[in-house]
Amino acid sequence: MSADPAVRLQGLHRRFGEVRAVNGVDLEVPRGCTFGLLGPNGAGKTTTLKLLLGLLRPDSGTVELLGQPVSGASLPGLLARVGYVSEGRDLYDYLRVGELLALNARLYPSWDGDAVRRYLEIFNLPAGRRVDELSQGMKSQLALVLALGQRPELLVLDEPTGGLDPVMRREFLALVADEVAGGRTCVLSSHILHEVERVADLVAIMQHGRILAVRSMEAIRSNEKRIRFVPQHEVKEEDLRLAGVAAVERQGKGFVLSVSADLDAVIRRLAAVPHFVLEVIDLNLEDVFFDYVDKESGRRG
Amino acid sequence: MVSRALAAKEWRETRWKHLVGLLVLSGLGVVIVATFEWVRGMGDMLKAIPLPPEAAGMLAAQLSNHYVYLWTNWYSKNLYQIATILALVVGMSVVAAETGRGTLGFLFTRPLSRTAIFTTKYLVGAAGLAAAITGSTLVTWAAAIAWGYPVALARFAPGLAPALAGTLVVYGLAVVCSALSRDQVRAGVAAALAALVLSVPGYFPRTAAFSVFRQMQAVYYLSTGSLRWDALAGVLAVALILALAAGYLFVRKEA
Repeated sequence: MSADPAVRLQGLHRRFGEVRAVNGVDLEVPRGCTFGLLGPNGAGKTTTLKLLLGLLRPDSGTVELLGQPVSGASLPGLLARVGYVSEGRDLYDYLRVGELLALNARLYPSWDGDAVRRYLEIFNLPAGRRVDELSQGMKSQLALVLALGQRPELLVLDEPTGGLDPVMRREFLALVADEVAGGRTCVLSSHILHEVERVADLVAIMQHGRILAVRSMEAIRSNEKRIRFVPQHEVKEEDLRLAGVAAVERQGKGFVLSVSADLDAVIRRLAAVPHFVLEVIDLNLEDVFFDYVDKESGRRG
Repeated sequence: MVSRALAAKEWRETRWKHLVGLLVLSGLGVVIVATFEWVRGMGDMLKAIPLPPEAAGMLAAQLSNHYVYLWTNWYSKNLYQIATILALVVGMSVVAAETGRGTLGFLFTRPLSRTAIFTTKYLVGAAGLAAAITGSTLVTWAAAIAWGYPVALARFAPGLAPALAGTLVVYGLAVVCSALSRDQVRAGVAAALAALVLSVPGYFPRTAAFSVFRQMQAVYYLSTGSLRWDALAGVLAVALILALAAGYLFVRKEA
């Protein structure tokens, strides 16, 4: 736990009628990193981000942004340091791009006109065009320019690449990565796992309003593995539940072990058992995501 | 408390409503002034028709004096009716337009307090209404002078006070409905129904003084030459309560 994280959520709950959209979320986002919030549709990602920004009120729990508790009094000052791209890109359609940027420029004392001109050039956004004449992808780009223009310390992006073609998406994510490299913090909600994998330092996997796991991408790359193990003699499944083994699944005559820590120790223990196959398989974020989500779905099912 | 940047955006969004209101009201004012002689000619013909004594007396009073005709047709008839419609149209969109098109989240994530956002939105709408009502009243007064019916502004303008106060009540009612609804048309219909209920006391002589619309007609000033300050204060108090209620609902809104 860092002393002064960019975001700290503690015991956060929010219901909509009978639906527990956010159900006891505890989360810390360290400063200067890109934090991916992953989950299937309806997992509670958008609700969590809205609670974070004061757009929704929690039923219980606390939210701290940039070291300060979020309240009606503190929120305007905090929002001056936060850039937000909403899932719906809800912008004023009747305004021209330049007018919308000018509105933001007057609202934010820290607005950086030079940087905004540069972003407009990168994305080739026409300042004279009305917002309702922009494609969905261009609206996403404009929303990002609006969010970055005030030089925020924290960037909150909710499904930011929806509507972007692959080329636009690459430019978009590259710009986000550049901004984070410049010292900002980014919280990125998405269900497009490979794009999160490219930019995130840390990921949280969310389902049914709960955080199932928080992992660093480095740990996922180096520690999260699967081992395919086919022993020569019968081995009990429970004997394979070693320290560091998250799950054991029988496949034919062998097993697949999901390992999240102590890989070398697990391999040493397995190697001591006579076997036909002992194979280590690298996992990507998608594999890890489905491991957690499937396990959670099975547990609830 | 008021964001000038947001006020500019609000004006950009609502200016046509206010400008159309100003044009319609000004046009009506000019027509009222210009048709005095024609209506007086019609009135001479109407004298041949048997009317109830009260109606015949009112007609005779209006047609005998251009000032009375102008006052009763402006303040007591056209201005309060059109101002009521204009207040409903402007007020119904103050919050519901943002909610309906999904831009409330955009506003709520700007570095402004919700109180500042609401105050700005409310005041821009109120100022636009006040400008349309005051501007058209001045146009009407100027038209009267141009047509050769001189009326002292100091004698004609005081009718604006109850008209503006009553308009604020209707506007406040519409803003409350706007804060409660996601759909500005529904908000407008709900506010119109509520305004209809507010008009009920006006139909009974014993409760007429409690009708906002009767106060807006400013008949008391015409007959006595002074404003009824207690009634004006009462109407303004209702307007303030409605504005505070709308502000409370807005500040508690989620996006």
